[in-house]
Amino acid sequence: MTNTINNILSNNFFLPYHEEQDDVNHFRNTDSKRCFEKNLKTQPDDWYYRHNPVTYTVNSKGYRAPEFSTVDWEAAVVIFGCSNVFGVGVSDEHTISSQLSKLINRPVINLGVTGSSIQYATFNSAILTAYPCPYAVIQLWTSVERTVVFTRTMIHCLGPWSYKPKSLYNKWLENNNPRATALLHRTISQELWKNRSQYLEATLFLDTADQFDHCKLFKYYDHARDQIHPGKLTAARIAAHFAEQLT
Amino acid sequence: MSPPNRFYDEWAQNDNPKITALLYRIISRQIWTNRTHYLEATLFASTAALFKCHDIKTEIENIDLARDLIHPGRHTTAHIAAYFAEQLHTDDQHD
Repeated sequence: MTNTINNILSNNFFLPYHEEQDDVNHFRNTDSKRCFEKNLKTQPDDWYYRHNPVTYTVNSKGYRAPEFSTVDWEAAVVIFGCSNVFGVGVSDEHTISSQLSKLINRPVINLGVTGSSIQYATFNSAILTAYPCPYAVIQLWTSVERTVVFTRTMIHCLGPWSYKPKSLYNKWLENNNPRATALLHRTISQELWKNRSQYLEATLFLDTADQFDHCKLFKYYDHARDQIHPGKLTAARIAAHFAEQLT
Repeated sequence: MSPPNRFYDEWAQNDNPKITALLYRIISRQIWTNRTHYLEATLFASTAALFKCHDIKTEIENIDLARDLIHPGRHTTAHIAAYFAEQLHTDDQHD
């Protein structure tokens, strides 16, 4: 039987996440080999990534995390988000989760999914409630202008890259739908963890900070190898903020 | 009421409604787990099949209709109320 999403949900597995790309252990998403070669021509001689490779280590479910069966969930901090949490363009040791783990001496489980939406993070957050209650949950919210649609075996993350006249994404964007959807899912996520676990929220997206009251907006201090995503220093600042917030 | 610009038609393609429904069911259950009594049932056969949850219609011998001749009528709603009352009573006995 094919591994349908229905089966996955029946087993309380997180939504499946796989990216197909050449040399996927060293290049992912916007941090492609082509992008790297282009940046080599424009970046200064002392550019960190000129001589330091990026390694992406993922588990059998495609997440940049240990195998889920080995995780001590009750001791762990779980962080949800998009490519900023996954760590596109930074090496394993420079992701927010890795740096936070070192600061608080606890496992930090990276459930970041490239291109994912606020809905996606909320769905995975709900699935997590079937596991032993983690020490803390962090939502590093992505942009409001993203959503997700499903087929029997596939998940399609939609965002500004899906913009096309008359497309489902363009229709979804109309009126106040993205904002209302984001606000509802934020409420759901907050309610899921209320009185269950420490719960922190923040974002790197201005549109999300504008819509969500009391949601800290992080700024960029540097960029990752793809020159798009947050770099290792930005990730370090974010990790330090969360470490300070966690009791 | 017809939906604007065929958004629904596209949204309803493939298994999107089913997967989305299953995810929101998980959310609903998890929000209330260990917080209060939580009961589920449906009047929709498609939902009962997907969720493998109780289709109340199967219990009601004479389903009546409301004034609009579309929605459940007063005998049907009374039966649904009795079903939930019984479930809550059973829950209380187990507490």
